Amino acid sequence: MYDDRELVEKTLQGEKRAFEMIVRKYQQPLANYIGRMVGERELALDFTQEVFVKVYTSLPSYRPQFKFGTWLFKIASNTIIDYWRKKKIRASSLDQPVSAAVEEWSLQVPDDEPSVVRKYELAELRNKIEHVLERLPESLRELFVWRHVNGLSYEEMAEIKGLPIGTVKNKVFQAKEMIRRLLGENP
Amino acid sequence: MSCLNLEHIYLFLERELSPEQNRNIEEHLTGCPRCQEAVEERRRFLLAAESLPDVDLPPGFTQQVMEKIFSPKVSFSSWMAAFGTWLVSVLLMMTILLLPGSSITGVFVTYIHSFWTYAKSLTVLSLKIFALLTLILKLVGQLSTSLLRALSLATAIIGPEVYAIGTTLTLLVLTLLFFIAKRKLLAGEKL
Repeated sequence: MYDDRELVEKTLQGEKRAFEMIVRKYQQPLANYIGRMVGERELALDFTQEVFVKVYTSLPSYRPQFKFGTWLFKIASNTIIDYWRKKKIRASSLDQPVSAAVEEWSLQVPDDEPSVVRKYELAELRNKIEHVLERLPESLRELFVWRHVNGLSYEEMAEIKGLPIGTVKNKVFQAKEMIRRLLGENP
Repeated sequence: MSCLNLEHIYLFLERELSPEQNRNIEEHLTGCPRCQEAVEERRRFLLAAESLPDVDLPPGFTQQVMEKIFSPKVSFSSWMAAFGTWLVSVLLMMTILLLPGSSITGVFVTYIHSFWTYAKSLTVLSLKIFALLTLILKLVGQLSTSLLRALSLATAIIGPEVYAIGTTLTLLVLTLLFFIAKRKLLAGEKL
């Protein structure tokens, strides 16, 4: 089994099979991420294809000191931002506070915190989270999906977004608590 | 130790804290039911979030991606660009031809006449080349047939003894010629 760097080298030498192996490896994580960002399956599949085309054409500019998966998700993220820009959807920025309410949340465990999660069966909870995700600001949704759906590390996410790790950790925390609270609003 | 920080609870569950921080949290949890409850709540939340179903990929999706990359279809805009280039070239040519004051009909007649003249010459030339090639092939065919016949006749007439003597003599003559040539060449070098 080849690693990503070897597959990239072989693709650049003209081996189509090597790029096919890259596609097979990353198509599902990429579709999972894009699907949650655009909210429509067919659109997500089109975007996934488009990202692979961009990855292939940009391959000569790929620098092996960066992790290939990180680079691929960065291309995907830029593709989605371009799409929102064209559709004139103003994506929330990570530089700005998400909302005043979030900033006011207590960081300590509250005295009598209601359980919003334990009342659901696991399958039902997954379904609820999928629905609530659509209501999350894009910038938080993206980090949440990368961390908890794609399993990226905080370091990788910080590299993609060009942000300090501490900021990324805090934003992912905000995303999780926001989802939990939105679950509480949706009985 | 005061009650746990919510952000730390998540980082604890994700194993992102140092061993010392983990130890402190575990110690606190043994004596704090409120924090135990908060940790369990978030553990279950993370369990659900990390097992969300995959986006369903259609069968043959990889092949679709590969085809899109390696056999790109010419888009409508590309066709339009090619057509536009052709149209501009034609219009430019027409302008150059019409500038000296010729009429459109005159230009067309001249163009069609030239086209037919070239087409006629090209057809005649192609036919002549074809006839020449046929003749050469026929000649080569006849020559090879005659050569084969002569060879078969010679092998029929000449017996094996004569054939052996002939071969030996030829080899001797060739060896003699080789040494004579070598001597001549060496003499030339000395000069």
